[in-house]
Amino acid sequence: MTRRGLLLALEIAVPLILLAMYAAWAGAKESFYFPPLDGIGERFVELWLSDRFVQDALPSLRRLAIGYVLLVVLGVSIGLVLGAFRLVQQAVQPFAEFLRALPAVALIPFGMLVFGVGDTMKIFIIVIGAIWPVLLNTIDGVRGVDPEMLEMARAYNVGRWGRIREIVVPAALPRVVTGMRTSLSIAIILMVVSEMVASRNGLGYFVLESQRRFAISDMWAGIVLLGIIGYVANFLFVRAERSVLRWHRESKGPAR
Amino acid sequence: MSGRAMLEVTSLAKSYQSRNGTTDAIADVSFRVASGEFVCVVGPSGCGKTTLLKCLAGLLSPTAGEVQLNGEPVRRPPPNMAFVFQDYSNSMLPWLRVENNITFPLRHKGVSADRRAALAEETLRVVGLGEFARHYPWQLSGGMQQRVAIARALAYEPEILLMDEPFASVDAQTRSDLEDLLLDVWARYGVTTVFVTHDIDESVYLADRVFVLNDRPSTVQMEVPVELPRPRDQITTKELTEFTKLRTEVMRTIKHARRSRSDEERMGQA
Ligand SMILES: Nc1ncnc2c1ncn2[C@@H]1O[C@H](COP(=O)(O)OP(=O)(O)O)[C@@H](O)[C@H]1O
Ligand SMILES: [Mg+2]
Repeated sequence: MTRRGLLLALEIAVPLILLAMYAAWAGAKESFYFPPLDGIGERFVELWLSDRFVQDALPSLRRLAIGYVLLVVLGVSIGLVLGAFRLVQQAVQPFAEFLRALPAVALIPFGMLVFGVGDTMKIFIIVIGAIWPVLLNTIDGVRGVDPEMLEMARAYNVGRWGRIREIVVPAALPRVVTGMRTSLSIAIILMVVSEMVASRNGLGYFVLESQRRFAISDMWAGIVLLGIIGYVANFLFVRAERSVLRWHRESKGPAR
Repeated sequence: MSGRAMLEVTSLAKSYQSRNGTTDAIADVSFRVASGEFVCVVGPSGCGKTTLLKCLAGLLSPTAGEVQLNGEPVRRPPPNMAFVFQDYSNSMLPWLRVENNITFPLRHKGVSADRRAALAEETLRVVGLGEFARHYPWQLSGGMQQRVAIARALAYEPEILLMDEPFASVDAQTRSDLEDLLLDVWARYGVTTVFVTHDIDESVYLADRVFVLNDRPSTVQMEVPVELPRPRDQITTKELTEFTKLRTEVMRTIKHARRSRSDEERMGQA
């Protein structure tokens, strides 16, 4: 077997073995906290292949998607401006550092006050808490653009806007994407927390509510779904990154 | 000098202001370049060659003096001028394929898509890289990347071509190939060329006239007309006694300038 094949087999086998171990352990133990695997699996299918998915999973995904798109758009555009204009960046730096240091969840009560307990508050928390990796990486990316590339474009009479769009943005993209990936995992965390604290629906709400109802299999089914969402999101992300940033990966490698 | 002056540099001076004071890079440089001419500017490293070229290109504004192109003062990069940079790797955009690197300036110039494709195809063929249009620049060797840079400059269809030590970081064999390629291209397109180098042989081999700069802050120490026959050849041209005489002359000028400069400094200190 090739090395690659072996790795792939291990990647599939290890989780399966762990699951089997859990099934055997939980099945024998009949613990209240760790229900048997087939029980969780049953609930998982019942819950998420029914309208519970529409009721709880979809709202979560919608909040996550809106918040994430918003924070990426905001983070990249603010980052471009701050990266390009040193003076502005220095002026807002202390304020930005303060906001960044502030744990976003501490703003949930404030968010509830201003926006109520609806989607707006949760999106607000996601944006304010998860924007920083995108923003700061964009600033760094813009700073790191090779001045010679910009000078080349200037020598060929490419205007300011063209230089930003066609040199600064693509050159900063690898950093931006790194930031986007970190932001995504923070956004998922904030989605769950904001739904646990103040919500009538959503996966965070569902997990907490199941625990309160002592529906432990349901709770685990919710947790597993959250795990799957995080995993799939990251997987899709890495895939997209590979194709978009092929030049970046390969140009850093050894020359042909 | 034959033909009308296309580029006219008058009493050009450039100083850099930085935190630790002022650096005078160019003290006083004047020269004229006729339409279709191939001119080399040669001088030791750090004497202000890049600075001079960037002033000509409208990338830097001079502290004093003026640059005129076709009688018009140059204040920003002119649309009929192309620039080839010393550092090829940073002047190529790694996310674009070779052909798109060539058409990048053309899109902003408003050249139609068909024409852009035709220009990219033609210029790549001229520099001998017809097969590499779909490659990325980082898949090519240094010498090939510099050919792409030349193709990009040609595709821009400039009247004047400025080149900043374009062959300084390739190996000797590639370098003489590139020199001959450049001479071919120059003869074929008739583009006025200002070529900066620190290599004396290279300047004499390529040029119609050589301007010798002295150490910073630089002035034109001497103008050397080169009347070697064209087309030139790496072996037969360099065998000519005339070639040897010219390169010795340029070398002596640079050496002499250095000596008198350090004499002055010694006198100044005494
Ligand atoms: N942006 C700058 N700021 C300050 N000094 C500079 C700058 N660019 C070049 N210089 C100085 O000007 C002098 C001439 O530089 P340059 O034109 O690059 O010389 P060359 O191309 O002949 O090697 C050098 O002493 C260099 O240190
Ligand atoms: Mg230089």
